[in-house]
Amino acid sequence: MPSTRSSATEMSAPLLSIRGLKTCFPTRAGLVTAVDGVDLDVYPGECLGIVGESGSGKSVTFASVIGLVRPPGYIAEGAIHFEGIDLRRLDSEGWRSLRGRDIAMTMQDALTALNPALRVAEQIEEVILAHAGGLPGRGRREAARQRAVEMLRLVGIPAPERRIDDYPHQFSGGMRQRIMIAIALSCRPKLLIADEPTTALDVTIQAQVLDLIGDLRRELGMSVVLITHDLGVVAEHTDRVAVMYAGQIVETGPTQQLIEQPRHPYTRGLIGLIPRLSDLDAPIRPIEGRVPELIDLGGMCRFYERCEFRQAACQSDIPMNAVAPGRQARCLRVDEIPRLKEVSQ
Amino acid sequence: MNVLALVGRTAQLLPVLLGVSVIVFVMMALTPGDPVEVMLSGQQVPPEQVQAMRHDMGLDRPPLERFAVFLGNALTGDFGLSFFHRRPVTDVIAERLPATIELTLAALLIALAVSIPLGVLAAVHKNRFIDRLAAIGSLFGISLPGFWFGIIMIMIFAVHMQVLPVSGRMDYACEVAPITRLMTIDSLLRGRPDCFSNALSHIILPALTLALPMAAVLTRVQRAAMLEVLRSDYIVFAHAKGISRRRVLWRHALKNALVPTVTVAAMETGSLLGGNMVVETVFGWPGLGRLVVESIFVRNYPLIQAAVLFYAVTYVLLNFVADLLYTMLNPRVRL
Amino acid sequence: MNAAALSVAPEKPTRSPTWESLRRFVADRFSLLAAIVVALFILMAIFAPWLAPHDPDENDLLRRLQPAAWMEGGEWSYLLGCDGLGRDILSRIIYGARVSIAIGVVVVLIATAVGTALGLAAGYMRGWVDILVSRVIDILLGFPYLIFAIALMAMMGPGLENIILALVYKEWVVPARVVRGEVLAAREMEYVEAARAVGAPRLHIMVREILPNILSPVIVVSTIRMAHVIILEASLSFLGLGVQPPTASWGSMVADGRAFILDAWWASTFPGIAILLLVLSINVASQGLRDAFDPKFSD
Repeated sequence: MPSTRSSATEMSAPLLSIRGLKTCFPTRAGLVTAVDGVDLDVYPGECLGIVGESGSGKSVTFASVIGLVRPPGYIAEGAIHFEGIDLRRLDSEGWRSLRGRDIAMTMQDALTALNPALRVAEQIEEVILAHAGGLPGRGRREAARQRAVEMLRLVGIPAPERRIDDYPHQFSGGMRQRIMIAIALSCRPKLLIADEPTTALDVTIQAQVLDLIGDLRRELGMSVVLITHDLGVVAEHTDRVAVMYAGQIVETGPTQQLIEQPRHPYTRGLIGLIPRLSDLDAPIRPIEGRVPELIDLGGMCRFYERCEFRQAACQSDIPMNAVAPGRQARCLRVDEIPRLKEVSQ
Repeated sequence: MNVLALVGRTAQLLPVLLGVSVIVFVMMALTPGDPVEVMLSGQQVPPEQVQAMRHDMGLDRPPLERFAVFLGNALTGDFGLSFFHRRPVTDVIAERLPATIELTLAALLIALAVSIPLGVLAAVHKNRFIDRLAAIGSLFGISLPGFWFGIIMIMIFAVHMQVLPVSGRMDYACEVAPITRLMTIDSLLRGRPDCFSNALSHIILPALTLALPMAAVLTRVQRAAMLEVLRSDYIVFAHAKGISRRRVLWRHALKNALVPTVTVAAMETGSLLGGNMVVETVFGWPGLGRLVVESIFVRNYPLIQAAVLFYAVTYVLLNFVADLLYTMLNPRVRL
Repeated sequence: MNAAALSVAPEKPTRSPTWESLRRFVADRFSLLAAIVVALFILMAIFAPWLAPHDPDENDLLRRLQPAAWMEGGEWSYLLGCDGLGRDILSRIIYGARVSIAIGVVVVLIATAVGTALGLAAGYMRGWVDILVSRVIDILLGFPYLIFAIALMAMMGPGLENIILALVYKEWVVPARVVRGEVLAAREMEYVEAARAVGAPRLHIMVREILPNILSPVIVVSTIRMAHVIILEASLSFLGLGVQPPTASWGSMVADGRAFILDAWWASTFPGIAILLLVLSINVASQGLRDAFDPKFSD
């Protein structure tokens, strides 16, 4: 359940701070700017949701944070600071000791994220051993195994002492997801990047996994970045949200406020996609059109083609406009949007 | 993997093995010239004696019956007498086999030792110097005619530099009582380092020549497999865990990327059997391959027949082993 | 879906990708160079009588093992020196190209034709045809290639036609397998289903609809196989099971020169270089062709 600490946390120094991040991928068609000028802060202990369609740059943003942008992609500009450390200046040993210990990550599908050829035991123990500078030299392996079993128990794997020697394919989808979370959390990271943690799962297991992440967050006192395309997940599990579209953040704010009163037409469109229990018969209105190609964009609002409320003035670069303390939207008509009716179709 | 599935798979081999033996039988049955005449090679023998010989050899019986007899004999390891040696074919083959096995194993070892690290490095440094070098190397590896490469090696290392012997398997001065009949291993087991280095100096060039095309193929397979693996989520995830790059590469990636390489290596070992004929001829290696080539010129048909069947069965079995290896190394594939 | 959409036949892949591929191939300098080398070898084979400075079979014992032109005792009119019978090595190499290229081309052409027909039939008609063809393929795959060819040559005796036959007997398996696989995939494609739906005859679908669309992998495989066949022929000739003397063949030239490695390295070195150069060029060109036809292979 979301905590109500958002107003308090914004006073403290951010754990992670991203400024002007720009990540590019050279392709045959041209240079794709997958992330274009993202500014974002993650505060200690909060759960920040990142929402957007696939290709909006949400995953690439955090691949950039953890230094794992897939080649040939690269970070072109921007600053990323974690606890005051400039991540862009980190050497490979610096990255190695940071990843898994301070910043951990889970991926969309545990089936592909877990190594099929290695036993679960090895896959957990190696993280613990890699960051176990303090563990005594003798008995390290036993200690690591002990810790690995504990982690599996913590995420709810039945009979972990026995199952730890199985291979990933011997587990069900939900269990695999839990194993991946156990691996990510085994060194008690300060920040967990959960990239679409539930997309590969059935609805019933989805809630279990998200609750598990929430419980562990409170238990370990870490921050969580929940990357998802599902605003429903965000509504239930996050404190704050950033909505991404075509490589940019288009709206940020406390989750509840943003959902109740979206200030960007795109966010408004996304909210139209959440089925409401109170009104199941209401038609779901998909957003017309598609995300633009991320090549040579600029000079106009990226949502222009799909926007119901566009004006001539929108054909220029749109800055983030402050709406309220801690709330911004990348729209010229931020103040009017809540009042505007949809164009009838 | 359960026993039942293994039995089932083995049973699938039977039609192929039967087909292979039919072809070998037909090949020899269609050979122009009567085997008896070939055996007698122009000697004047009374016709009734020839007839008796034909009857002894079963050549006057209908083809199907002859095939049944051939198959029955083959299953009991009886391929008749070698015309040339006047001894059972099976004995002659068995005598030559260890040399061929030793050479093949040495080549396999060299090929794996070169191709696995090279393929991995090429994939990791894709499009960089080492990758280009590996690409050019494997291009030459598949394009070099083995018999010529062997001769060039002899000219350079044996004739010009005189550091390695021209041919043979071991100098006569070295006599090691057989254990495994593989000279390099026997000389080590008998504690004769001098003989070991002698055997090694003899085997190095032929093994290298034989290994070259295989190493070329395996390097490509290893590189492609590694590239595929490096793109996978579990490699990204492994990096995100903060384990060392070396461990990600040589444990996480290689354990998966080895599967195709080992599979192809098992299959390619079958092709080495063919390459053996050429390489053994070039280096005067006293193995089965050279025996077969020599037998062709003296029309020693029973031996050729037995050897071809032997090669084919080995080849089929190696492919079978490749299949099993693939299953065993790959926990995801359930038999 | 409305009626108008149903009546429009799904679009067939057009020919333009082939041209696009050829354009990519030409743009790849390295492959283009290799293709030019192959073309030069072919021209050399065709015009051998005009190009060869000497009669390739003319013995001259006075010139026995005469070194290459730039070495001591060499003559510029015998550029690459002479072999054990005093024959001009360059002329024999030029004539030897005829054997290598003719066998390579003929074997691959016949094998591709036979293999494509059988693979097409097996893949499209399925049933007993498929079972039969697949079984025969399985059995032939049970033999190592060179051993199969050697056994056949031992049985049939040497000679040009016999080499071609011995190689074709096994070579057709390669295109047959490729074609069968492609056809199995193509059968499920919309353009084939559309043709079936309008009642096109089976032969028409196989030859006119499917065949043109699976040709590019077949062409790519055939060119790669050409290199393989040339090495096999050279190996057979080297073992003395190929073209018979005095006809010049690169493989047998290397074998002849082997007797003189102590004092005449050129006798077996130069014919081998010819094999290497031709095979290497074919391999480079066919790799370029493959990349051009299917860019996803290009890493």
